[in-house]
Amino acid sequence: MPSALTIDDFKAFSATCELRYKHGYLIFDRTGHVMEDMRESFPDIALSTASPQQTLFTAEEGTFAIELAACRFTSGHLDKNGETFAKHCKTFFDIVTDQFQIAVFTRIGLRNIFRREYKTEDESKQALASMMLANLKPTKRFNSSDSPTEVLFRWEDAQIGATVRLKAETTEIKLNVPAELQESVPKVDKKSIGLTLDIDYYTVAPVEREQWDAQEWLPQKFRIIKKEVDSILQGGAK
Amino acid sequence: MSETAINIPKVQRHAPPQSPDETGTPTTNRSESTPSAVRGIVVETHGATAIAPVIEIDRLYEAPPGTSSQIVRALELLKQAIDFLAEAQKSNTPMEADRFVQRAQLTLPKLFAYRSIGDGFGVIINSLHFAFTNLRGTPLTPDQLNAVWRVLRELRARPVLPLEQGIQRVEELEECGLEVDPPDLGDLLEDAESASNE
Repeated sequence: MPSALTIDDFKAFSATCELRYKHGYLIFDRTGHVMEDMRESFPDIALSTASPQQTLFTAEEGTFAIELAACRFTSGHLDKNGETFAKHCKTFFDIVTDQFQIAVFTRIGLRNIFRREYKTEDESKQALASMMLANLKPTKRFNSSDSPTEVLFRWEDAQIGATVRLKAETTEIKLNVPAELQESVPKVDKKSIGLTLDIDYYTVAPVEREQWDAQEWLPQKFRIIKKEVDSILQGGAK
Repeated sequence: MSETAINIPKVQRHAPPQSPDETGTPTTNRSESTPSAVRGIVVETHGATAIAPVIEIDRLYEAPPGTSSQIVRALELLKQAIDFLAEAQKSNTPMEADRFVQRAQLTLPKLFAYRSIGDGFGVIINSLHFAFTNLRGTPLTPDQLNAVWRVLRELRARPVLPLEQGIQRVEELEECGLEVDPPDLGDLLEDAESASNE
C-alpha cells in the first residue's frame, strides 16, 4: 500500500537557491561592493567568513555565500509558497550578477530540505520502507539492512533535472562552547531521529541572465516540488 | 585604548564535499559517501558544458495549467502575438496581413499589464503600443512587420531584459520608420474630443 504521507507531514528545514557561473573573477575585486549593496536591503547583515574563494554573510533572513563559480542563499525561515525567500534571492542575485558582471548561469538550483521526526530509528526506517518507492523485495542485501535506508531518484533531460532523496537518519546538532563561556552558555547536543526529504530542482542547460527572474521562477518551482513530491509519496499517482 | 582580544572560536559549519550535480547547501553533510573523484580533476557532465544551447524559455518556466505566474501568462500572450505576426508575414494580400497584425495589436494592452516583469519588457511593449497608435490605422510595411515580429520573438526568449537592452530593441523599431514616442498631448485631446462627438 502506498504511503499516506504528503509533503505537509514534513517540516520545512531549509531552502537553498544557487546560481553557478563560469567567470566570477570579479569576486577578487568586488566582494566588498556586494556587502555594501546588501546592507541596504539586509541592515543586520554581518560577515561570517571571508577568504578569496568564498565569503559568507549572515543576516536574520539567512546565509548568503559567494564563490568564484557560484553564489547561494539559504534560509530556514520559509513561507509556504517561497515568495519571501524568492524576494531575498532576487535582491541578492541581482547584486552579485551586477557586481560580477555575470551574463550566463551554467546551473540554477533550488534545494528544499524537509524533516519528519520519529521517536526511534526503527520507526523512521519503517516509514521509509512502507513507501515502497524502490520496487525491491525486503530482504537482507550486502549483509546489511533488510530495506534501503536511503532512496534517491534523479530525473534529467537536456534542460531540466531533479533529484528526490529520502533518508532515514539521525541528525546531530552539536555546539562546542569554549571553556571560558561554558558557565553562561548552555552546551548544545541535540539528536533528531527522522526522515529527511531532500529535493533538488535544477536547470541543466545554461540560462541567460535576461531569461531568469528569481521572483517568478522560485515560487513556481516551490509549487511544482510540492505537487511532484506529493505524487511520489502517494505511490506515483499523478 | 583597545580591549584585550578574546578569541571565541566560530562554530564551523560542515563544508561538505559537494557533488557537482547537486545544489550546495551549508546544512547537509554527505561526507559518509566514499569519495570517488580524483582531487583536482573536474569532469563536467551537466549544464556547465559550454557548447550546450541555452535553455528554452518554455521549459524554464514550465508550469501546471492555470498557473497564476505573471511570466507564464506574458509568455502565452507573446506567443499569440508572434504567431499572428508570422501569419501576417505569410499572407497573400495586404488586407489579410493587416487583419493578423490587428489581432497581434490586441495583445499589447494585456501585455502592458505585465510590464513589472522587467524594465526592458515595459519599454518595448509601451513603444509598440505608441508605434501602432502613431500609425493611425496605416498598415505596417513588410520591413516594419519583420522588425516587430523579431523584437517580440527576442522579448519572448529573454523576457527579463534590462532597460538598456530594451531601448536597443526600440531603436530597431525606430530604424524601420516606426514612431515610438507618445503622440503630443494636443493630439490626444483632439482624439478625445472627436471620440466624445461621435
